Amino acid sequence: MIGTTKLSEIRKKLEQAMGPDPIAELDRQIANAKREGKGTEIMEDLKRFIQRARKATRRKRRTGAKK
Amino acid sequence: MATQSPRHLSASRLVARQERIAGIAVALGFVGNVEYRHVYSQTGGAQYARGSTEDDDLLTAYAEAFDRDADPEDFSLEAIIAHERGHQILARHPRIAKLVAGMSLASEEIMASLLGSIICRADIDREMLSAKAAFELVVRGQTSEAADCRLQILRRTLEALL
Repeated sequence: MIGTTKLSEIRKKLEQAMGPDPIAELDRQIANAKREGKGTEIMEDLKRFIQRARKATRRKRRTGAKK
Repeated sequence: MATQSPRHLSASRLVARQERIAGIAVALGFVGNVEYRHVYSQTGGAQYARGSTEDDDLLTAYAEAFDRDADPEDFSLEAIIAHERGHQILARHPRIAKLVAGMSLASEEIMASLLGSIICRADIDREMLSAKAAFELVVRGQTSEAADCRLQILRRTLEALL
């Protein structure tokens, strides 16, 4: 069962866990993993996951501003 | 999703839901029976039940799976079903089932999300399920970095076994 926690809540909790700048934190983790020859798919997924939400929020705000 | 029962749907719309779920399940490799129940459950939208054989396995999707799919800030139907297909792989894949035997329920949920993320066709669904897996570790007290490292290792292991 995937559970009842909403995706937006999951995003919020992950962002909180990554500190004030989650994208910079993920970039740092990706760079470290690459240096150590480790895979980065999960971190890159998380980065896109957070970025996607930010783009959507910006779009929503822009749409709101036109009204 | 907050109301006690979903609004009434015509027979043709119920059939359309059943067909959509079955189509997604088959595309993700699900083996067994797929059903749609037009009620709200406490599952989050779908549930996998192991049968006596793989052909008897059952995937049940509920009305809230469609409510969530319609909400851009929640899981897609594909991601919800991929997670359940992940449970079937955990139960049925000869090598993976051995690896996870005796694992806690919480770990099983993380693995199901990871497997779902591997088999998803769309990037957006894969990202949702990777995030879900990371979230499960973070809420259990892991740092985001430790969670990401652990998931990366698990993902590589599962990909190699699939």
